[in-house]
Amino acid sequence: MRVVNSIRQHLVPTIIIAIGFANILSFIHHTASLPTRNLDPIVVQEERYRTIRELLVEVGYTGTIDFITNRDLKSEPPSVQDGVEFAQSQYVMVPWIVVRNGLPPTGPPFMEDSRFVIGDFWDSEPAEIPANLVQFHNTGRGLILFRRKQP
Amino acid sequence: MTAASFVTSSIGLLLACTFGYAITTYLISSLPRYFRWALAPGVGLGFCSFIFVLFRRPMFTIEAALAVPALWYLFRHKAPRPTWPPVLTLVLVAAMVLAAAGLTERVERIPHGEWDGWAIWNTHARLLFRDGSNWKNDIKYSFHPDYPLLTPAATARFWRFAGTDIPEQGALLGVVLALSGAAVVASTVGMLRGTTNGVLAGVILVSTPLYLQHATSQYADVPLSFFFLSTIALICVYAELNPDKRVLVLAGFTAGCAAWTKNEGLLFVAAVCVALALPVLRMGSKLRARLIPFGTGLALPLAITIFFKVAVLGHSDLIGEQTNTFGKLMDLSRHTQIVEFSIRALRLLGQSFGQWSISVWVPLFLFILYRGIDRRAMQNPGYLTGLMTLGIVTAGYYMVYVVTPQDLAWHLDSSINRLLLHLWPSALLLTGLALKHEERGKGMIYVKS
Repeated sequence: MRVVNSIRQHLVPTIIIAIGFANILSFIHHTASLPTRNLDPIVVQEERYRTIRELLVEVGYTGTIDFITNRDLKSEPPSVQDGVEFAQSQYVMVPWIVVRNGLPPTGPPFMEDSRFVIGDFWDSEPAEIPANLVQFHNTGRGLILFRRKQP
Repeated sequence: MTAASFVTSSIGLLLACTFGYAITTYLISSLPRYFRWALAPGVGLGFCSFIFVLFRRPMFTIEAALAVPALWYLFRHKAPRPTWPPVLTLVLVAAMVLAAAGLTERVERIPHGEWDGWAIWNTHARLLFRDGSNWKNDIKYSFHPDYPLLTPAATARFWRFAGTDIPEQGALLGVVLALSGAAVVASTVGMLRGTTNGVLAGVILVSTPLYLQHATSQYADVPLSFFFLSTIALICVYAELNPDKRVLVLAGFTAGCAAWTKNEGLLFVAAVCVALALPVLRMGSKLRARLIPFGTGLALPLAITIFFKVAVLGHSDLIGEQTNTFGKLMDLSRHTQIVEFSIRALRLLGQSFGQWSISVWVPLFLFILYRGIDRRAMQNPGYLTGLMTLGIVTAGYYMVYVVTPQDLAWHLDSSINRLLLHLWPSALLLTGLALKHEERGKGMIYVKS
């Protein structure tokens, strides 16, 4: 009985600690297999949007920004990736509020068109752009900042 | 991250820890220094998040002004040099250092956190940091504007110290509180059930893969679990070791921080109040003796949480879109689905990232086997209060799922493992406290009521 107790007193804590360290090492191993920082989707988006943010700061713009993709130009329903790009653009563009079809991520709709429009053409740049938009800046990475023509 | 921003944000963390340590020393000075240090980062960061939201740029005004009396107080109450801790505690320290290395690597690879981390919590932090006083209006257009601000405010405060919004600093709160959580579990179980039990409980927590993952996901779930844990730990300490009312004041403060971290924290506050009050409901003086100190600590964080909810008037998808509530309550298939998902999620909590880790249920079972259950310990009022709190919170989570306006399968799939994670550190604490003390005959001071 004493031997059993002695084993329990020493072996069990050792096993628990060993399992703990094994799990932490597995966590480290798993972490090492994750994509590197420059492949993180938000890091990529931060770099894609950098010059647009700088330009908007330069012109002192503080209003909302409309967001369009190729599906909007063709009057098609948005794809899943369009939704992901929209959510990511909102994070990257804070404090500007990014609006798609008059709707921000949540909250009441905006009735007026924004002065600036971000075209996120992550799949390919369109051959034609709507007549009421003027290209203000092309990042060269599938993002175009448009200025809306005054009516 | 540049060296300068690293130094300035480290000063921000140290200052928060100093405030936290001063508060814990003032309220629980009779308890061991290591226990106060374990609580200090969470208490301090919670306290600083209140100041940040109220004053916006507090580092050179309010915080600088408060740092002087805090440091003076700590200098006046300098404790004698502590004796060296038992060698076994070095095992926990080594586990925490190893975990910290893994966490740092993960933050380097996912600097903005996972989906909810950037889409909700860091978007709110950026609004606080970049949007001046307009944040109160603009936050309404972000995802989940009604979510409380402890996490975003703590992150924005680090950015303010650094002078720029460095994404990795969003993970600092999660990493610090994850490691502090392990220290709180270890120190509480260590104080009440012996060092070995404490170290083992701490090692199990700090080696839970899902816990480590969410320490860096930049979600608010690990900070919330820290405040759940700290509140229950303080109530157990109050009941077993130190029946000083100021322990309950601190427990009220940490419960309030939970409400300021996530909406689930409000349910937790209600659960703790019920669990504290129910056993002494008909005994007026005892009821007051419990609830007045707890309410005193709770008052400031709860007032700020209510101020935020009222001032911002955020939209809550769970309440605002509620329809056919009675029909959902009566729908048996929803109940079955929730139970099935819960069992699956418990298995996931044990296995986490697939096949490569050893289920935490194995060390947990061995941990119970190691000492054996002490039924007397489980009848302690502190233990029962903790257990009842977790029971009420679990029942609350269950009811939220039953009546959710979201697609139930999607809602369960996207959140149930994190809800279990909220409870996991506290459940581990209560498991540790249910075990027999290392030294036979040593045990609890039973506080009546």
